[in-house]
Amino acid sequence: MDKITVGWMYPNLLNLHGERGSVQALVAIGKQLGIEVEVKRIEDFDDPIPFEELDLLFFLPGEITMFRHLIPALQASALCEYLEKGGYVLALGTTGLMFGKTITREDGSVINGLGYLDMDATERKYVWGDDLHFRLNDTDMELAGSQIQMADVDAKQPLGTTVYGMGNNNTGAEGARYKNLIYTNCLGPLFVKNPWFGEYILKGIMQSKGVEISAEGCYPIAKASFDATLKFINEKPKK
Amino acid sequence: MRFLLTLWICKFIAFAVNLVDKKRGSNYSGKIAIRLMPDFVARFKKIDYDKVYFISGTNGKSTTTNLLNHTLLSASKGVACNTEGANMMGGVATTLIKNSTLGGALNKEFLVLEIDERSFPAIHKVLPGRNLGLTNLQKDQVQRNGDPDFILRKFRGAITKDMTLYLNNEEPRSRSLEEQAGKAVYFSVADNDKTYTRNDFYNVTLPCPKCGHPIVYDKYNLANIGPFHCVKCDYASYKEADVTISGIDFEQNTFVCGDSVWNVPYNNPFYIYNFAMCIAICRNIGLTDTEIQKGFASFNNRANHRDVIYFKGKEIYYLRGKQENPEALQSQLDIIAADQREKAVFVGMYRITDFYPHYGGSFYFFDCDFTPIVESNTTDFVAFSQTVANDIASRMILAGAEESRVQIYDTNDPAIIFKALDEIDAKVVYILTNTYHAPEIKAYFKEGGASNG
Repeated sequence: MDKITVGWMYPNLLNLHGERGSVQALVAIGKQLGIEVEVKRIEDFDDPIPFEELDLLFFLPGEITMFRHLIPALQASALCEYLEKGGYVLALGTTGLMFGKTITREDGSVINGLGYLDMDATERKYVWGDDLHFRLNDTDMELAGSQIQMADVDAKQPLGTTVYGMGNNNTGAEGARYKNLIYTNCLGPLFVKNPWFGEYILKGIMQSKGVEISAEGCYPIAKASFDATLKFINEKPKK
Repeated sequence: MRFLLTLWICKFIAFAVNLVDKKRGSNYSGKIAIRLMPDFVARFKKIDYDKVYFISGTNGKSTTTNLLNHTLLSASKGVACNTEGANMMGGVATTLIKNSTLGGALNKEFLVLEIDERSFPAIHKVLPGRNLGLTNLQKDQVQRNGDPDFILRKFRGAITKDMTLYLNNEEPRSRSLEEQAGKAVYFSVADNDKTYTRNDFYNVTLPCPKCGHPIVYDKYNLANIGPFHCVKCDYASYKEADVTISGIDFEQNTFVCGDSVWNVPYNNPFYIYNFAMCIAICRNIGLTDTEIQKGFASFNNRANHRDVIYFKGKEIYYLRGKQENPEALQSQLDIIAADQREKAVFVGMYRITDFYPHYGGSFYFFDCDFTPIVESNTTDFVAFSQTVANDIASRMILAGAEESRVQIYDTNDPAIIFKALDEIDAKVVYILTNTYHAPEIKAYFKEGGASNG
């Protein structure tokens, strides 16, 4: 059986919005595709990251306050080399901001991010919670979920284009991408509501290993959830 | 003079609203007062700030506020309290309007106020009370609060050195505010029959509020509440707190605190923490344990979130809550999981529609542990409610529920949802919904000939 090893980055430190469900979902998606998805917990930011063993680094949503610990630790690691070699990194929600250039906090202070994504973020005074529906820019794939937006994000290379929702900053841009570093605001959990996106990631990883996966997943409950979300969006009362 | 005019107008409005509809009187007059005069609350006289008690936190603040109010009243203290639960500036203003003289002087000795977490800085600015009880600070109403640090920062910026904090010894986030205050009083609940450990692979805790490294819970008394320690720094729950409840007998509704055994009307672990905070505050006020016990014994929480319904040969336990955060939901899931009888479980989660924009986020269910329910002899699972039913079903399946045993109803119509009862063999049924949909569900069973236990 083909195998993918996922590094679940700092599970106790980046722990918001039930996204641990995405880790569980990724394992289930892998099963449908005939891929064994092994998850390794990387517990603490001063633990070494075994990059050579990991096919995907998965960062779930967390709090901006954690960036002061995580950014220096990741800067000191071999993350840059891993990314440049085509390694996969997925960052959800607020956590994605630390992969950009700067994060300006509500009090005016500025955090310098890792700088891999060409984007700047400004913390919002008020949180924005809403549904989100967007299309990936490099495929026709559509994703739906929710977003809990703590910052306005200006990304030069968005991951997708919104059909409904705030996305990065109400300009139609959603998320960001550089090589195989992907940031999205979409929650749900992301892979529970959009297993086809999980399939896209897993197949991409296998392809980078020289393995083509022809199996297709079957996701009737997620598809029904997707349709229900879009129906709700279309019927929503306007302000 | 402007203050007095505003006060008189609003006293009249409060009186009039109360005549028309008592339920709508919780903050209406106060809201108008704030609109007419933004610093209205600051203008009241004869408020002894040492006798102002704010109660805040994610879960348990309404119950603790009502419990403290009731206990002080039963000890013949004069108390002004926002018992109706309007816990923002308008609610505070309404409480003052209703408990003041025509000259704008507070006419009660104590002011006990439930306070919305986000509103605390603004309220404390105009009403600098010197006591704050925090039940816990957890993930909550994320479309408003974002993340727990957003709320923690609000408290950090507002707590002053002249304040006394009453803090949960087993909740790392709220307890970390001890550094901000002049004095901290800690309350605690010892190991008991409902204390548990968690070792599952997908379990997550939280970052240490002091150094950012992971927090480890040695045990849990509630979801994310229990004896803890940081893996790196010396931050940990204290071995001994100022008030510790131990010897809990869930059958007899008793516990031990100090030298005596206390009889209490409610005994779920959330309540035990509420009792502990209330004891800590009342002792500091100077009440004797006998006076506090007298108050507890006669306490009746008006918010009833549980019913037993007998319907078509089934014993139905109907549990409901606000469904705004995983910890409160988990406490209900724990109740279901503790019942080892063969059973069916119905879960409705609903769209979030309390303010614009409405959205379909039910993801906090994935922060909860559903596996114990799957493993506690549950034969049938029913996921319902408009828009989010499929996501609820996904949660159940990821927790190990067999897909063929999960029914999905993308509707809020009880007649459609509970038709499923006819095809379920289990005689014991649990239904979990939010409080807002309780009237229609209770009406459905009542009209169908159900009797209540």
